[in-house]
Amino acid sequence: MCILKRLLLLCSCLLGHITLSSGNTLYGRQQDPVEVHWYNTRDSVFELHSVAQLRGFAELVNSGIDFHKQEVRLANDIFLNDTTGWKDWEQNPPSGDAQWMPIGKEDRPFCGTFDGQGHTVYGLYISRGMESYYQGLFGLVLNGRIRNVQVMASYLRAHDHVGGIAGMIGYKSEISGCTFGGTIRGAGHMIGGIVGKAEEYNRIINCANLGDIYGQRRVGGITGSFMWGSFYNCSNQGDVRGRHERVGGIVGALLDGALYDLRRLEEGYELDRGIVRDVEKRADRLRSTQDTFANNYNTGGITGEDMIGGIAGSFADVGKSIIDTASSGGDSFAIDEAEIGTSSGELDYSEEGITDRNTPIDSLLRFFRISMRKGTYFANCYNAGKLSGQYPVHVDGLIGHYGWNWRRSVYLLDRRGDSCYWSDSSTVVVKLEAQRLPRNMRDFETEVQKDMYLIRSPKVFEQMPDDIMKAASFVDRLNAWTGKFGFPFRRWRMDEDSVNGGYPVLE
Amino acid sequence: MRKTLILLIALFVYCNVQLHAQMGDPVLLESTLQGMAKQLTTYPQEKIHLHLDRSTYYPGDSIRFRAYMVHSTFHTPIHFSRYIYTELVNPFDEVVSTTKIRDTDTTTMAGYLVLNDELPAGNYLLRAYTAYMASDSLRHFFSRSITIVPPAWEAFDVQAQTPLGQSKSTLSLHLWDSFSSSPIQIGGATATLSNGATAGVPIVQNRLQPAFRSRERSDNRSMLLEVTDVNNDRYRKYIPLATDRADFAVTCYPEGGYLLEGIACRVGFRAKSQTGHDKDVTVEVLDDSDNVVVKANTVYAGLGSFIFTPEAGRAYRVRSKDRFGTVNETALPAALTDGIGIQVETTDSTYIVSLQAAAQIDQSDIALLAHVRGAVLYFAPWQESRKRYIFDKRLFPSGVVQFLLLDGQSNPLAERLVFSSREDEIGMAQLSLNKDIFEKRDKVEAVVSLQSRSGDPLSGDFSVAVTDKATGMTDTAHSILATLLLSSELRGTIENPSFYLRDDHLSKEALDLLLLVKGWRRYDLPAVLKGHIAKPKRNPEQFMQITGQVKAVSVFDWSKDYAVRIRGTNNAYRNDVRTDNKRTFVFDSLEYADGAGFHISAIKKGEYFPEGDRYIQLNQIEEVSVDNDVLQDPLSEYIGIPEDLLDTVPLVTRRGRDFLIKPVQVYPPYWGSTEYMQFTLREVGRLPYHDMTGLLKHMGLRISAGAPLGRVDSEPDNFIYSNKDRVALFVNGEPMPYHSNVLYELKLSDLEEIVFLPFVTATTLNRLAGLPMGKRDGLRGLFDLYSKEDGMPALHIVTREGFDTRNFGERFIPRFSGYAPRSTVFPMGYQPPVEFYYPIYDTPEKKEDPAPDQRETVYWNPALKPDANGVARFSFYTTDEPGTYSIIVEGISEKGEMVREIVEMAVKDEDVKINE
Repeated sequence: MCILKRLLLLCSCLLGHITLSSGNTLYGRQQDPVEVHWYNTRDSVFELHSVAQLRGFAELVNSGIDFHKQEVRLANDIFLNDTTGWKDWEQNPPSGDAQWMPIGKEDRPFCGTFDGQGHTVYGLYISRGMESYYQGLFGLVLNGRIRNVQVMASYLRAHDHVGGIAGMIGYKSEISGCTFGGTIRGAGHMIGGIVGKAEEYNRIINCANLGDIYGQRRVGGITGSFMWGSFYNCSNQGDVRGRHERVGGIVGALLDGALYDLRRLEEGYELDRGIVRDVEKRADRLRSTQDTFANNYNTGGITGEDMIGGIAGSFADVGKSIIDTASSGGDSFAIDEAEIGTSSGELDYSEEGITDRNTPIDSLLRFFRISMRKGTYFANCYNAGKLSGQYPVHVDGLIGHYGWNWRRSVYLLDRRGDSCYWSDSSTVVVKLEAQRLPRNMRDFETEVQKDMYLIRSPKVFEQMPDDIMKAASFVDRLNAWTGKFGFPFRRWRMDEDSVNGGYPVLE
Repeated sequence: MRKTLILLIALFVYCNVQLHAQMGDPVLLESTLQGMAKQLTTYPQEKIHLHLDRSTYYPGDSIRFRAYMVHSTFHTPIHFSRYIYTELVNPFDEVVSTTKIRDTDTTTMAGYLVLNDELPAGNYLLRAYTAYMASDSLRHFFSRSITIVPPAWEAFDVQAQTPLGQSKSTLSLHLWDSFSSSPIQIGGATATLSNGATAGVPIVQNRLQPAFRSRERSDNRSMLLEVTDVNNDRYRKYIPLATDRADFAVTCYPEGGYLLEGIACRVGFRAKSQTGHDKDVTVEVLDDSDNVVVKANTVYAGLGSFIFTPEAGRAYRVRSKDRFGTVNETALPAALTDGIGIQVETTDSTYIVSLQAAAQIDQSDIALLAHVRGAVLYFAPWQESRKRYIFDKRLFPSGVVQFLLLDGQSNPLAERLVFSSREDEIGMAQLSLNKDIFEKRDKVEAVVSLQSRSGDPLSGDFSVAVTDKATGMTDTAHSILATLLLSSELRGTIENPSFYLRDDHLSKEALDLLLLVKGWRRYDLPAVLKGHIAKPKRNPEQFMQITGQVKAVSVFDWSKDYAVRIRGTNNAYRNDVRTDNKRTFVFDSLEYADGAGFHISAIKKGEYFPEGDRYIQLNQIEEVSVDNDVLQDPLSEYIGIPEDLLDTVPLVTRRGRDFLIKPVQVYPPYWGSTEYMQFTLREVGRLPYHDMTGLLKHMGLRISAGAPLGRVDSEPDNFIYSNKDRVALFVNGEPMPYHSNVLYELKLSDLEEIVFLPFVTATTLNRLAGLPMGKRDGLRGLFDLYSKEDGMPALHIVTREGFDTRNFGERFIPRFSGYAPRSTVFPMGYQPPVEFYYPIYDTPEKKEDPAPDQRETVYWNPALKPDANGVARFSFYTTDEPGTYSIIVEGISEKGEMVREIVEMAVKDEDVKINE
C-alpha cells in the first residue's frame, strides 16, 4: 500500500479520534478513551502500554491500516475491564459494559505482527447478537502473526467465527504461544478457544485453551475449523460443547475442506476488495509447505450431537459427490471402490502420483497429496477427556468422523500418522447398531452408507488404560516421539502440579 | 331395535308431553308411532352444533370449536359417525380451510380451523357435517356465518352510494379512515366476481365506481374488492354488489298455505333486496280498484304480516315501498273457493289450531298431525263438529312444532310451524368467581355448578369461552339452544338465531313471523304415514380408507394383475393389496392423523416394474357441494348526516387498539438482509398444508428438477427455486446441497422455524456455509451459483430440538435396491387435539413481562367435565386489557339437557380507582 494512502487513513483515524473525544459515539468504534497517536508510517515496531492504545490499535486496523510488515508489541498486561466476577458476566455485564471491538474486521483485516511478549489481556468482554461474526481479541487476521499473548478472565458471546485470540485467520497466518482462559458462547458455527476458523494454510502452535467453549457446529478447544498447515504443541483443558456436529477437543473440523471447489482454490481467490498480498503465488507456496498435526492433547470434556472426537470432530470431511469435477475437465473422476483399503493391493498415494496437474484426476486424492505430502499428520496426540454424543457411530476417542469414505482417510492416516492415544475411560464403545437413515430409506442404503458401520480406526491409534496414561511410562512414550523429531516439538512431563488431572503436560 | 325406539319415543312423548288420552286417536297414534319408529330405526339422523371461542377472527387466527353431535329427534349425545368435517367457505363458495376431527372414547370432539394470513375481510360460511349427513340430499348441516376482519379494515368506513341518474348497476364507494376521519387516497382497485372474472375499477375523484352488467348482478351477490392505497397498502374485502337502495322483492306466505275467499287470512311476507339482504318496507294491499285494503310494516329482518279477507272475484296486489321511495308491486295469489287451511294462534299457555275451510269443503276425511322433530305427538281425524283444537303448550317439548293437515290419503293440505319453549328442559350453569373485580394478569378461578331445573347434577361434556366484550367478538348471536331448537330445524342460514329465542315481545313476534314463512323437511312425514320409509344412502363413517386405481402403463396394457404397496413415510403402516378386475384398490380400516404420509406404488407380478408410484391414481375425497347463503354486511346508501345532528348521533366505535401486534420475531441479521419471510412452528400449524411442498408453494417458492451441483451430466434431482434462481438451502445453519431429502423427509411438525430470504450476498453465504471467503468459489460447488455471482435467495429451516438431520446433507440415490418412490401422498387425516395456550402469570417477573398480552380469546376450554355433584372448575389469567369479559358456558348433558350461560366479569384499569 502506498505511503500516501496510509497517511490518508491515519488522518481519517485521527479525525475519528477527535470526534470520539468530543463525546459522540460512533457505531463500530471503541468507546473512549482511544489513543492512536503512537502510530506512524515510518516505524516498523510499536509498543502498546495502555488500554487506550490497544483500543486505538483496533481503531486503526478497523479503519483500514493493516500493519503489513509492521509489528505491534504489548509492553505490559492490559485490563480491559474490572475482572471481578467475570464468570458471572453472562448475567451481570462488567460495570460500564465496555465491549471490546475486535482488531480487524471483514475487508479490514490485520496483516501485521502482534507480539504480546508474554503479557496478558484481562477482562475482554464481548456480548453481541446474531449480527456479529469474526469476534475475538482479533476479528480477522490475514497473513498475520500473533504471538505470546494470553487472554484471560474474558467472556465472548457472538454468532459465528468466534475465537479467544482471533475470530478468523487465513492466508498463512500464525498464532503461536497464545492462551485463552474464559468463556466463549457462539450461537453459530466456527467456534474455538483460540481461533474460530483457520482458512487455507496457517500455523497454530504452542497454544492452549483453558476456557469453556460452546457453539453450534465446528466447535473445537483450539479452533473450530482448521484447513491446512501446522498445528502442534497445543492443548485443551476446557469443556467443549457443540449443539450439533463436528465437535473436537482440539479442532472441530480438521482438514476442513468439505464443500470445496479445489481446483479453483489452488488457482486463487477473488476477494470483494483485494487486500491479501501474494495471493496469486499462493498455490505454488501451498505445494511447498509442510503440514503437521502433532504433539497435541486434550483433557477437557467434549459434548455434541454427532461427529465427536477427542482431538478432532471430523477429519477430511470431503464428500466425494460434492467435489467439483465439472470444471476440471470432461471426465468425472472415478475411484475403484474395491481397490481402496482392500487386501488386493495398496494404492500409490506417494508424491510421484502428482505429476500431471492438467489431467483430470481425483480432486480428493490431490487434496491429500497437497496437504500431506510432507510432514507428519496425527502423531503423538492423546485424549483423555470425556466424550458424549447422541449418535454413537461417529463418536470416537481421537477422531469422530473420517469423512464419507472413511477407508481413504484411515488409509492415509495409517501411512502418514504416528502413534496417538486415547483413554479407555474417555468414551464407551457402543455396538454400532443405530441406523443413520430415516426408516423409509433403510431399504435403499447405498454401499457407501452401509460402509459406515464397518469403520475402523487407523492402525496408529491406540486405546490405553486410563491409569497407564498417567504413568511415567506414558510420558516416556510421548517423549520418545519428540526425541525422534526434536525441535520444534516440545517435550512432555508428568503433571506434577496437578493442573491436568494427572495426565502428561507439555514442558 | 324398533321396539326400543318405540319405547324411546313413547318415553320422549310421555316425559316431555305427558300425553294423555285427549292427544289424538290412540289407534291411529300407535300406528303412526310404529311408522316413525321404523323410520328412525332405518334412518337415524345426526345433528351438530359447534361452540366457537368467538364470532370474529383475524386472518392468521385459528377458529377453535367444540362439536356437539346429538340425535336429531331426541337431542341426546350420539356416536354414529366417527368423523366430523368442518369447513370455512368464502362468499364465492370456495372452501378456504377444512379440518376433520374424530370422536373417540378418550378425546373431546374439539378442533381448530386455521385461517390463512391472506384471507380477505368478509362474512364466511362455517359448516360442519359428517359424511353420513352429506349423503342426504337435504343436507341438514350445521352452518353459520363467521366474520373475518383484517386489522387494516378495522379502521375503514365505506360510504357507498348509488349515483342517481345513472345505471343502477353502478356503485360509488368512498373509503374513509375512521380513526383520522380522513379519506383514503386510493392508488388502484380491482373487483372480482365469483366466476373469477376480475375487472379494474374506475376511480373518479378518489371514489371507486365498479359497474356491473345485469347478468353479473343476478349471478352474484357480492364481489371481492381489492384496493391499493397510495402507500401501496392492500385491502381486500367482500362487499355486496349494491347498496341497500337496490331493487327488492316481497314474497307473501298465506298462513296455512292458501288465501280462502271470504275468510280472514293472515299473510306473512318477507322483503329481500337484490343482494339478498332483508329490507324494511311499508306494505299496502290494494284491490283491483286500487283501494287500499290493509297496510303493514316489516317488524324485523324484512318480516311482517297482515290480515285481510279476500272477496270473491277480486284480485289483490301488494305494493311495497322502501325508505328511498322505491316501489315494488307483487300480485297476491288468487283466493280459493274450495281450499282448506289451518291457522294457529299462540297464546301464553296454549296453541289454538283453527280450521279454515271454504263452505263447500267436506271436513269428514281430514286429520291433524302435530310433531316435534319427527316425534309425532298428536294424530287424529278432525272432528267435523269442531272448529278448533286447543293444545296446552306444556304438552310439547321445546322446539319447532309442526301442525300438518292431512287428507284421507295422508297428503298434506296445509302446514304451520310454531315454537315451543319449555324452560324445564334447559339445564342451568351457575358460575361463581373468586373475586368481584380483577386486575390485569390476575388469576381467575371459576366454579361452575351444572344442574337441571329440578336441581339434579348434570353429567356430560361442556365447553367454556372467555372473550373481551369490548372487542365485539363475543359469540352472542349463536347458541346451542338456537342451533338445536331452531336453526337446525329450518332450511337456510339464519342470521342471529339467538335473537328469536329472547324473551321479549319483538323477538316472539319475529319468531312467529319467521315460522310463518318457513317449512320443516327433515323427514317426509306424509310418506312415512303411507309406509314409505326413507333409507340412508351410506353407513356412518367409522374408519378411513385410501382408494384408487392403477393407471394403464400404455394403451396396450390390459393387465389386471397388479399389487399395490403402501408404506408409511412417517408412520409404521405397511400393507400390500391386490387390485380387482378394474384395477382399483382399497386400503381400509385405517385411521391416521393429518400429516401422515404414504408412498404408494404399483407392483406387477413377476416383472421389474420401476417407478410404480407414477401409475397410482388416488380417489379424491368427494367434494360436498357448497351453497353459501351467508350475506356480506349490507352497504348502507350514504345520504349524509346533517351537520347539526352529528353531536346527537351515537357513534359506536371499537377500541382503537393495535391489532397488528405479532409475536416477537427474531430478526435474522446474520443473513445480512432485512427482507425476509418467516414462519414459526405455530404459524406453520395454522396453514392448511400437509407437507413441505405445500408450505414452500405458500411461500412463493417452486420445486423443479435440476442437475445437482453444476454437473450437467448428472441425474436430475429436485431443487427449490425462487423464480429462476436455485435457493441456497440451510437446515439448522448447515448448508444442504441436496434438496430432495429435505423436501420429502421433513414433516411440518418437525419444523421450529422457516425463514426465506429473497437475496443473500455471496460473501454472507460463504461465511455461513463455512466456505472460503472468496466471492464465488465455494458457492459454485455448493449451490450451483454460476450465473449470479453476487448472491442468491436462501431458505433456512430450523428443526425442533433433537430432530435427526444427519442424512440431509447427502444425496440419496438408491442405486442398488430399485426405485424409491419420490411422491409422498398426504391424505386428509384427523386433526390431533391441541391444547389452548394461555400465559400463566404466577410470578412477579411474568406479571411485569413487557411483552403485551392482548389475546382476543382470553380462555378456551372445550372439555369441561363436571364431577358427580355437577361441579366443574377452571382457571385462567386476565390479559392486559381492562374492561368487561364475557364467560360463556355451553354444552349438553348426557340426557340431552342443553346449557347456555353468559356471565360477565370486570377487569379494572390500573390507572382507574374504583370506589368499592
